[in-house]
Amino acid sequence: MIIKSYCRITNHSIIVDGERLSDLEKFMIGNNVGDDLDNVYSRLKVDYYNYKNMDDYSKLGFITAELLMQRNGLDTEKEKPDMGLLIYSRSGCLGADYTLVRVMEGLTVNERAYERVIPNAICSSIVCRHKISGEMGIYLSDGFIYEQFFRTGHGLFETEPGLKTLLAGYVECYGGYMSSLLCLLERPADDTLIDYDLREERFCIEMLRIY
Amino acid sequence: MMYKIGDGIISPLGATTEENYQAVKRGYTGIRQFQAGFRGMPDPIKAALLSPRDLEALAAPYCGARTHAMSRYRQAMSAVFESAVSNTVPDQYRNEILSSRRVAFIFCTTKGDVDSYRELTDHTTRPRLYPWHVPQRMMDELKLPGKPYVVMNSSLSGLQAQIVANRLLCKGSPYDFAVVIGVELLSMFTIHLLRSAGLVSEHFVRPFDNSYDGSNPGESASCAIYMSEERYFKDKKDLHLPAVIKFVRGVVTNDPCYAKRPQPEGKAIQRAINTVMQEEYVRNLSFINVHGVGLKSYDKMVMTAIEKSGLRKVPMNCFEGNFGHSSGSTSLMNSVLGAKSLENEEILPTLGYQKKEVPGKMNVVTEVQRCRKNSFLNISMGFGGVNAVALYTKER
Repeated sequence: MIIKSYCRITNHSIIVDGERLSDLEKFMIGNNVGDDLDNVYSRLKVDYYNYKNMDDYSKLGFITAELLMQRNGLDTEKEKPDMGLLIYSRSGCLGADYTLVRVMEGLTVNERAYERVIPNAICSSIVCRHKISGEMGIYLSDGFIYEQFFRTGHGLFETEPGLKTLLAGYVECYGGYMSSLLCLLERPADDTLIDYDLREERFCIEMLRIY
Repeated sequence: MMYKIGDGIISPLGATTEENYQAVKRGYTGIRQFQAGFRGMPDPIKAALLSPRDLEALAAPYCGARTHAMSRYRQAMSAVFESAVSNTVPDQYRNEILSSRRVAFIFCTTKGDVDSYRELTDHTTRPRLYPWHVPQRMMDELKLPGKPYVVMNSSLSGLQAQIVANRLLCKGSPYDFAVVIGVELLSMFTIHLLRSAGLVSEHFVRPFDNSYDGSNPGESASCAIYMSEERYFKDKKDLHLPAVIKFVRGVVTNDPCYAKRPQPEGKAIQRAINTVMQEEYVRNLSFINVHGVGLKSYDKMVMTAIEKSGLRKVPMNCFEGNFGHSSGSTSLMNSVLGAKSLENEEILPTLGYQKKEVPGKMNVVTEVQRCRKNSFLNISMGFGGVNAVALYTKER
């Protein structure tokens, strides 16, 4: 599998295919992750009905996917049964879990807090926005482990002949820290590399370069 | 493709696959009425709960003298792995599974260690709150090499974890074996979440029922151990198994526009069924096991999808009346029980089902049936519009 395109967001930077988006970066002040993400979202001119109900983790994933899909000119209205979505994370939706704990303890009121506690909520927002109807999944690990990323993604391409594109990567947003890298992955046009280990090694080197 | 060489289930109905299988066959349920105040719950609840004392006793052989100091989640994980390895895995593979680098460990859950949620803060947390941490600790303590794969995806995590296992065992991969472990426990946190989502019923759960919505929450732990196709054919002559269950294919699909309510016709499930059924003839299907999310809208969707896929006459069952709804573990448990049914040439009954209430003349099994067919389908659904279907066959 090859990386066709990628989008990387940290607390102070937004990079798409190696190009820094300084017109968006300047809105990332760094005091509050949620406010920064809302500022960036407002400049994207996207009107997604459920954005305001998302937790910061989902917002980060949503914006990263939006920038990547926009860059690649993918139509949000066209259903994509040949596209899948895999997200890797360290904390997952722990931020939303904390909000629900606060609701349970009567420290805050939010009748919809439970919606973001469902572990695949981040995926469902992205697939609804971009009409992705292939596989979707969430994997949690201690940081972004490239080998796991390769093995699950490669296995998906191997076992699903109908899959053409995979939107996959790492989204982490908890405790004031944010880091995301989403890639559009495709099958290589010239599939001459046969050895599994060699494929994995080359993919991990490529990930080291961009992450 | 991969081959199952071991399995285990811990639930209120038993501590091994065999005990749970026999309990389902006899129509037992682990669901009980608990009064308000039990485990700090503010309201009475019908649920299938594991006894903490039993869990500790089952985990002790692996966790040792510190068992009592470990969380229930950690205990359940170890106990079910112990149950699978000790009771079902062929002798020649036990040491390898406990020491080889060629074993992938895949854990599935929806919320992880649910007993520690009160320790959450908005910036840092105790490490065990991270859903990957407890699996990693278990692997470290048992000196199992590698890092765990942790799959979290609503109610179908167990089925998706097996699909991931199948991919990790593909040709050329660094693994020969995959251990899939699913644990789901209940705490105030999960009960509150399930209640908010409308999944908790005051009545005993009745699968495919039109009159009540919701299910009864449940606790369980399940484990399935698979071997790669390459390794299976290499070792086949030394295995001496009367029959072996093959995971043929699994597919996850998604209804992208129906995140909050199911797509009425279940188009994504139909797509998944049609993809998986490219590998098998309908006439070879012994039964279809269905695991929903406890809402009648989802039950209707899956039945419509089954009907439109031309599988209306295939017998169908659901074990929610026996074990309740234990999210991440249930679909793995269903796969293990389904595999056991194929081995025993039986179809297990659906507890709590009442015939008159099913639309579309579906063939829901209410009593144990004999069947010599070789395959079954496992269907699972979750919130977010996601669905999974997997096909298993028996090879002699």
